[in-house]
Order: sequence, then structure tokens, then C-alpha cells
Amino acid sequence: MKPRTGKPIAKLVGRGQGRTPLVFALTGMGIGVLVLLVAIQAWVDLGGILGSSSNGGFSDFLVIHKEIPADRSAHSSFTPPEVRDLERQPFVESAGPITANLFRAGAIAGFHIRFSTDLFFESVPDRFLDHRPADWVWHPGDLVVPVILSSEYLSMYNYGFALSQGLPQLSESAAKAIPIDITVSGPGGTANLVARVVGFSDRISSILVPQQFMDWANAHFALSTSSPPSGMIIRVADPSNPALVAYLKAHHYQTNNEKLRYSRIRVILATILSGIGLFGILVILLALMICAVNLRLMISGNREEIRLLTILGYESRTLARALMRGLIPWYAVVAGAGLLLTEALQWAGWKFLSQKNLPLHPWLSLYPLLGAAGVLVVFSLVTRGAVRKNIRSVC
Amino acid sequence: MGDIGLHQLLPIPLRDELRQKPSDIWNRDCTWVQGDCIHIRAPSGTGKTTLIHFLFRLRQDYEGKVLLGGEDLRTLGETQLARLRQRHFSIVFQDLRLFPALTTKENLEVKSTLTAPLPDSRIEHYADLLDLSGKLGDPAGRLSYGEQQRVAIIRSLLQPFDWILLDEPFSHLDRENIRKASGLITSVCKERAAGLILVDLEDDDHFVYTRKLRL
Repeated sequence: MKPRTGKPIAKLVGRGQGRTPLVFALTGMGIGVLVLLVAIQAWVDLGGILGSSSNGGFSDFLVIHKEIPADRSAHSSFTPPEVRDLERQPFVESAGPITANLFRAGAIAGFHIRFSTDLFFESVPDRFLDHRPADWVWHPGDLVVPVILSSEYLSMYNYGFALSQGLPQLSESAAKAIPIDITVSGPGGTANLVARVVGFSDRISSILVPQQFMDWANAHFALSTSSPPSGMIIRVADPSNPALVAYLKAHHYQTNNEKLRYSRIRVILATILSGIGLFGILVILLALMICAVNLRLMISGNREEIRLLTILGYESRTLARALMRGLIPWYAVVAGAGLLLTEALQWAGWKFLSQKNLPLHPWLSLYPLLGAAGVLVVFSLVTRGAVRKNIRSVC
Repeated sequence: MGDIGLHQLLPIPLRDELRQKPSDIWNRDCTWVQGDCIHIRAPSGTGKTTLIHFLFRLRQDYEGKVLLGGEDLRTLGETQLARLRQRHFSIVFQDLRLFPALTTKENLEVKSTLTAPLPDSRIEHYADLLDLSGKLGDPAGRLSYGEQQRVAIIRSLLQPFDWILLDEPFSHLDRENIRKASGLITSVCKERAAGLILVDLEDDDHFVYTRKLRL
């Protein structure tokens, strides 16, 4: 059975407890807790705001290519181990190969547009398309090859090429109506086909053909049994994730840097917030030190009373418990107040930012709660250690 | 816990001096059975308080052994020592050792709340028996020495014990108060089947002693 300790014991061991140092320690603890919790919550909010600002809070797609070294010594296609490694990364939700044509291709536009060019094609698994047109199908023997063109290419044609060459500008529907004669050739032979634009992509800057056509044509004309991916398309939850940026950099992969620009801002802000959080921890540590010194002075001042109590049969831990009972509730009050104040700031921030259409939760996340609980536990443990040690030293 | 055994006990500071003198306790083997009522008489400076402190394990600067229920008191850890003072030995110090800043009632509560707490009515009854009813709310530091001695006696009775150690417990009490206090101590000892060891300068008949020894 644990010995009971009544008011007289608390009166004896807590006698002469300096109010001023205790108020200092508790104030310091309060400030430290507030700074730390605000930093934690701001970090959480920052992830929410930056993680969603680039794409409205949904997953984003990135097309990745290998950097071409200056001496052109390395191959730019992805090897199977590289593909597997990419797929294994936690920030990659899904990955698919981009297949390039290994045969020659040329095009001549029909009607009154005098336009001929050599061409390239690429294909991606259908699940990576922005939208899949109904006629996005090709079977061996089909004369017409459906094509999805990058919206950027149409813009380049309309506002760059067409104006300077005196060619007509084309709307999307007009572009879809124009049949393009294409010639594909390679060691396996030559064929004349008709390409028809069936859709436009904002996601992939390329000329896409169905995967079935690409596989057939590569095998048929280029006599290739395997076509290693010339690039990869990945779906990521958060393109500003610093881990993703670090991975791409480490492997010398290139992508659309626009989508990654939040990563840099995020790293900078995270560093600032870490600094603020560290400052909060330092203030808390200082408060802990004041608290520990105050306890030592108090216990030392009540040395005779504590000795007599142990002579009367009290254990040092029983006395420590009596002393702690007078302190822990104060710690809990301060940690709770810090939490409430952080919530008040979060609420004010939510009110302010909601007018600017920035997403912010009105309530604190779980992390500040855990932070406050952590500070409370650390304060309690350190106090318990200091009290027990100092009481033992005077007994 | 049981009987007290002393084996060749000698306080180190008085070792050479006490070896030369005849004694019923120092440098001898003794066994005191729980329930014994022992009076130990000795002139001042011969180690009365020292012996009480050895038994209560306040001091350990001795040769030989002090056993309680066969257990060497030197081997007790902090928890066992606290238990010894909570349940097996109770004490009235010669210098009383009250908390002067606490009231009489609070001084008594310090002890009564430590183990099996006694009801307030019991504390009030003891205080009434020793004429301290009107002093329960007074700070102990403001009581006369005789009153403080009675508070210390009541405090020693508010816990379970196998032995009560009394170090000149009635030095500042008049005959009537000694009668009342010894009567109360006797009844509580009987209730608890406890032994009593009293050390004093002179012989007395405050209790029905089963042994009278000289240091």
C-alpha cells in the first residue's frame, strides 16, 4: 500500500518554495510551448497549402527524362533496375514507361496546308492520359492511326509557325479534321498511313500514339524485340515533396521544374520553422533549468524537515510524490494554455486565409497535441528526477 | 517482526572506554522477546541515546550486530528501513523532534497518515487523555517543553509497532502527567502486543518492567 501524504507533508517539503522562480519557470515553459506548437502546426499547415496549391490538392503527373551528359556518353533510356527503383519510391504513386519510335516517320499535311516534316511518336500506358478519346484505338491493319497532340504544340504552330509562314491558324476542332499522311519506314519495310488528331494533352508534351500501334510498328519496321523506355511518367501525391526533388537530382533525372518550384520554397520555410521550433525547445530547456535549480534550492532549504520525515518513516519517493503533486498540475495548466493559444492563432489564421482562398483547417492537427503532451511528459520526468535526486542527497 | 538480538554491540566512539566497564548490554549477546518491557538505566554519557539510535538505525557507527527478527539492521535498504520505522519501531526522541511550524494536530497527522490512518477521533481521544485538547490548533513551536513531550508521546502511538523506544520520555512531565502518559503507552502496547524499551538516568516504576538492565 502506498503511504498517504496529507497537507502537512506538502507544507513541509514545499515550504519556502519561491513563487518568483516558479512563475519565471512556468512563464518560460508557456512561451516555449507556444512557440514550439505554433512552429509544429505551421509546418503541418505549410505542407497542406504548398502540397495542394500546384494542382488543387490532387495527385500530379511528371514526365521524367535522363539528363543528356555533355559528352553524350550515357544512354538516355531507362534500364529495368532503374524503372523498378523509381516504382519503389514512397512518393511515387504510379509509374509508366514512355516508349519512343525506333523507326523513321514523316508526315505531309493534307488540304491546302503545305506542310511536311519528319516526325517522332511516343506512347504511354492509357492510364496516364489526361482524358482518353473514344476513338483512341488501333489494331494491326488499321489505316488510320489516332494521335494525341500536346496542346503546347498546337499553340506553337498557331502563334509561332503559322504566322511566320503564312499558314492558316487552326482551332482544336479544325486540327482534328485534318488527315495527315504519314510514312513509316525501317529495315522491316515502308508503309503509308493516315494520322488523325483525336485529342490534345496538357500533361504530356509529345505526339502520342496508342501503345498497340507503337509496339506493332517498332517490331514490324524497326525489327526491335524490346523497346526500353525513353522516359518515364510518374504520378506523385505531392510534386513539391523535397524527397522527390532530391531523388531526381541524385539520379540526374529531368522534369518540368515549374512543378517542383514549391519544393524550394517549402525547404526554405521548413528551415525557418525548424529554427523557430528549435528556439521554442531552447526556451523550454531554459525553463526546465530554472525549475530544476528552484527545486534544488527549495529541497536544500527544507533539508531538516525532509530528514526528520524520513526518520519518521517516509520514503524519499513518497516525499518526492508529495512535492510533484504541487507542480504537475501547474505544468498541465501551462501546456494546456499553450495549446489553447495555439488553437486561437490557428482559428485566426483560418479566418484570415479563407478570404484568400488558401486551404487551412480551423482546428489544430494531432502533432501540436502530441508536442504539448511530450513537453508535459519531459517536464514531469525531469522534475521527478531532480526532486528524487535532491531529496536523496539531503536524506 | 519479532525479537531484538544484540551481538557484541559496542559504539565505536566509546569502544575503548566501554570495554573496561561492566554492562548488561555493551559487548555482550542479548535477546529481547517482543512483548518484553525493558528499563535500561545509565548515567549520562554512557550511550543511552546512542543505543536507541542504533536500534532505530539512525546511526551505524558500531561494532557487532543489531538484529530484529533475525535480520541484521545494517542490511536494510531504503524501502525496508522506511518499513521498519513505519511498522516495527516507534520512538520518542529525547529531543522530541517535532515540526515547530506545524500545529499540534498536523504534527500528529504526519504520523497518522503514514501507514494505516487512524480516525481523527482517536487522535482527539489521546490528546484529551494527555490534556492537549485545547492545544491541537497551536503551532508546536509555541508549546511548553512538557506539552511538546506529550505531543511526541502521542505521535509515537499513532502507527503500528512491535517495539516502542522511549528515550527519557518523561523528563519534563509532572507525576500526574507521567501517570497518564505511561497508562496510555501501556494500553496501546498491550493492544499491539508490542515490547517497550525505556532508557533513563534513574530507576523508576512507570511501567511493569520484565527486565531492568544497566548500560
